[in-house]
Amino acid sequence: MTEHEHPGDPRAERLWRAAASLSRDIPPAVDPWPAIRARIEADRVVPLTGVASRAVHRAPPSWRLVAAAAALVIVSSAVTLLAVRGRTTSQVAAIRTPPAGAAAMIAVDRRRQLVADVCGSYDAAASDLERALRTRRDRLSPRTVRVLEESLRAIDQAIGEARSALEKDPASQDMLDLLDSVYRQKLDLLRRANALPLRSS
Amino acid sequence: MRLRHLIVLLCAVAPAAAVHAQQKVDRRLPLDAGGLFKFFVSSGSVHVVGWDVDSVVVTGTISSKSQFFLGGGRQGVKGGVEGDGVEAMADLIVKVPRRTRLWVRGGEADVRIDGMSGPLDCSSASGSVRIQGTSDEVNAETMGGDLVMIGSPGYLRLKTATGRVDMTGSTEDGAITTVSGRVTVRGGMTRRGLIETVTGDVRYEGGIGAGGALSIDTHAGHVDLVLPRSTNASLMVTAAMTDLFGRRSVSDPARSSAGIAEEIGGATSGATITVRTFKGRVTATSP
Repeated sequence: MTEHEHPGDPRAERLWRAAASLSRDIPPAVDPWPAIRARIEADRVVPLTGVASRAVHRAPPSWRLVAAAAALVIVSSAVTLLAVRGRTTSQVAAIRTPPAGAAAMIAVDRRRQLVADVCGSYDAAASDLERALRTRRDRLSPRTVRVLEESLRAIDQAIGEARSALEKDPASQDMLDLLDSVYRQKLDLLRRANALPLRSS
Repeated sequence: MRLRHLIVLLCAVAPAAAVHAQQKVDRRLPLDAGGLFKFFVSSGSVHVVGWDVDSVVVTGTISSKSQFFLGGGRQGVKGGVEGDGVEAMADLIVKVPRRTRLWVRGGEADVRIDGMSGPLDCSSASGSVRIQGTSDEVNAETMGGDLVMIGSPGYLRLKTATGRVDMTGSTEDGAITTVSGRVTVRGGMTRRGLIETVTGDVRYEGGIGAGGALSIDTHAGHVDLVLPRSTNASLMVTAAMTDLFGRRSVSDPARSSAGIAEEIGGATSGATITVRTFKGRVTATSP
């Protein structure tokens, strides 16, 4: 849309001027890194000190790289979401304030989109780890495979139920946190399964 | 009649053959107190015992088709049993200096650790893990086995998938995670505590320190809190069904549950206990 397309429409003119005044980049409204860093630190496994730390260290196998990539995807998605969400809200408010009902619907849609994006990131990370696990499955003990399958079934059912509940009530922060907790459990279980020692035959 | 005799004969001979299919292990190496000890056993059991002698002693039996190895110097010793599955069956007792930094992996083996005071890092794929001692730092994991911890480490991380977790003691910084395994804590997480399950029930019998934060999240597990009468904390619960100190509430399961906030003992200490469950119920009592 340009000025010349609606020369006589003052609303369109105002909208154009407001849009033109916006900056072209979308920096986050608040610096998300302290929060992300705090979260990483909160889940950090403290290594054994001194000689132990060095001796226990092993070269990173492929699953660690996969997990690292998955974590990167999740974190970067979260950062982008935080950045875009905060900025677009203020932009929309500056241009036009919708009626209360419409604002609520927009908020609900955004929340649904946020849930879908977060789930998409987790699912992508889980798929990578599941693919890696499939290549190792035949060399894990049948008992361990049984435990894994049972656990993943329980986790996937919980994810389905939580997503369904969030679909009905997207504003529930507790439900979103519970979903996040179950997804983290899934990634952690897959990561641990990929680190299990294999049988040689 | 002849067949019966043959069966009797086989029954008599089989245990003797099994005994001969094992080899004895009796090895020792010097290891400084505070040194590192790494040990791996694929299946069977290993019992690690801390003692006040600066050496490692491994005794017991392993199957005839497996190989035992042990090597290293005074700063660090590494050992284990090589082989797969039943062929690598071992039943070992390992004595190490009490303050050793201990790293144990048991593929399908049951692992038991007693009397250690150094940092522990222990895991088994499907065996059980049992730890009793005074270590200040404990990391323990198992997938399908049960995990029992008796002690009060400052830093504690326990994980299972289907196995139950049973902790007796307290910790300043603790995290317990299971999928369907039941979690029982008798003691408490005084400064920072996190318990997460997917379907496993949680029973927490213990207190929380001033300014501490305990968080319990479970998708479908029930949560029972048994808090001492002296508890001074804010309790925040999100659940469809609650019974908090005799006050019951049930919310519409079709809608998200509203949070319930309780102030226990005046809630002036800054401590918070947060419990969230989607399908489970939450009860809180003070004996």
